[in-house]
Amino acid sequence: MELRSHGDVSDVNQPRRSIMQHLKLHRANWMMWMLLIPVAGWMIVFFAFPQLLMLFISFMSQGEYGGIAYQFTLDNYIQMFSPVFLNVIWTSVEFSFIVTVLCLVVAYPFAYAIATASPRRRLFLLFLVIIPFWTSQLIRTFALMFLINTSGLLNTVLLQLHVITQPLNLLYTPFAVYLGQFYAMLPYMILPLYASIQSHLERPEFLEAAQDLGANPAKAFWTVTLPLTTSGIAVGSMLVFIPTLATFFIPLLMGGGKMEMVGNFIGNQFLSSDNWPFGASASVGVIAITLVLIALMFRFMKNAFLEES
Amino acid sequence: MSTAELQRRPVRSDRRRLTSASRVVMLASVYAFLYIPIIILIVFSFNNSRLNATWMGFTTSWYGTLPDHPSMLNAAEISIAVTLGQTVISTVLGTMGGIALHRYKFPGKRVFVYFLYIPIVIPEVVLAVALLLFFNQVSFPLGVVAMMVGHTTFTIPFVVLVVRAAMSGFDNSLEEAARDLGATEWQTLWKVTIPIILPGIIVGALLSFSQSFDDFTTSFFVDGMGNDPLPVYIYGLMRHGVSPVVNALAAIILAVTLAFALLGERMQRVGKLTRR
Repeated sequence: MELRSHGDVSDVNQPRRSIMQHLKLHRANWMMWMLLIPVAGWMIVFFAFPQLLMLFISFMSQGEYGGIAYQFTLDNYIQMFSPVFLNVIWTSVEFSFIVTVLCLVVAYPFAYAIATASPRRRLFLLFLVIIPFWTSQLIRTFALMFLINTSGLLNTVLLQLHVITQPLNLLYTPFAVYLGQFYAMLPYMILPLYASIQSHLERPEFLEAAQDLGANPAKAFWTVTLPLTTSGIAVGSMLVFIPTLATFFIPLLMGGGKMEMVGNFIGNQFLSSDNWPFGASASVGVIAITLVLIALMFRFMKNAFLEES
Repeated sequence: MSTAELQRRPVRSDRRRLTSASRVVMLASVYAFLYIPIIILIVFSFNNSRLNATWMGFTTSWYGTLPDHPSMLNAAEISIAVTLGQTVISTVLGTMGGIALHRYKFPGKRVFVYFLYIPIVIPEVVLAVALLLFFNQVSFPLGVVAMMVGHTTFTIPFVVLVVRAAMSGFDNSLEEAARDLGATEWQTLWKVTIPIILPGIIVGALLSFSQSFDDFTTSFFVDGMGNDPLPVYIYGLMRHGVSPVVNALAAIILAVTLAFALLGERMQRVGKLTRR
């Protein structure tokens, strides 16, 4: 009612009132709290609190029968420097590094080929990359298991072609874990590389300059294209490296639990080993590493953005 | 002019050079690598043989036998219950959060946004064990409700993200107009804001659904005894050796999640078009 009485178009105060209202829209009021409190509450109770609990438990001792003894200790963090755990970390880092490099080596020429296709075809080719991106990673892993297991299609075909005389034991080996992770991560590398190569090719001045100055295509690629697509390489590598570092179900399914990454190690502390406090400290460590890497990635993205503009 | 054209030619030919056979082979082999395992999985769910590896003719009987396995039906029921429940909660809470983050300024907003998005970037196994620890410490029983809570926690950030994106083109003056015409805050929300961003909300819900439906890691830790949802159930089956029944089940999950994701993509496009 009040609003309506002021609603006269010829009102001199009209512009000022509208600005006031605009501000009111953005100022905290009961409606804001009503919208915000449920989601904030949920995330505090079921995300922040469990993580704080994890931090707390990481400073507690292991109980005699696998439970938690509420006594302060730094043992769990000291234990992170034990050969067993360092070995797990090393396995994970090495694994993530190799998977990232493999993805990069395959994805770069692939993304380049898409970026140089005709615009209409490009859209279709890109769409074909995005579909596996959306497809359940779990089912894609099952599909690989189905393909390479001892009685699977790959072995059957190879046997029938007399390439091999005995079925290959591919599943439940480190090779299978590499294959599974590579298969899952490849689209994550292709997409940022494509974006970066595409925007580079849209401004051919640099490449033209290099060729005018007598660089052959190989040299032009190494000295111009590759450096100018560093941001895509960096972002793609991070998008592959970070999830791979704490990958969980791919080593479990493809490796049959034989190849223990840090994600599986943490899981096992909570499931089979029953050393929850140590699992908690390892988990805190993984979160810390992940957040640092994410911050680095955003730094790269920001730099890339600044270069563009 | 002609010299400039000459100079430009090498770059064009460089672009064209990759159109050669080697380029086609490379594109084809990567696409084959990405698609063949999935296609084979689906094709062999129609294979008329218990042994999985050779093609013995077309049949749909494996799909027909799915209801004969009571444990599988149980797993399907659990999956559907968890997914539907968590989709409702995450969509409602995420939408409210997304609207609030678009509309209001408040101290600590930046930190709050970071806080909301962290679950997207940290490894799922870390979220899952923290929830297991939490449920254990507060003596909350593992099972369907625990899974619902776990899934909701990692899908809420995605809904917030999508709803915020949907609101980014939102014209605040529409809300002002509604209020100038005497609508209450509540009416403005229901009759103006929500109908306009509805495509975005639906996209968020679809995304949330498909993420929950094929989740393995969180369910694996908090499902408790005898409450395996479909992905964990299939994992159990795969350990006892493969069977076309597993293929059929996997193909169904694949179809459901992909359909929801594609539908979401479609909606997003429609939403963008109608806004203009």
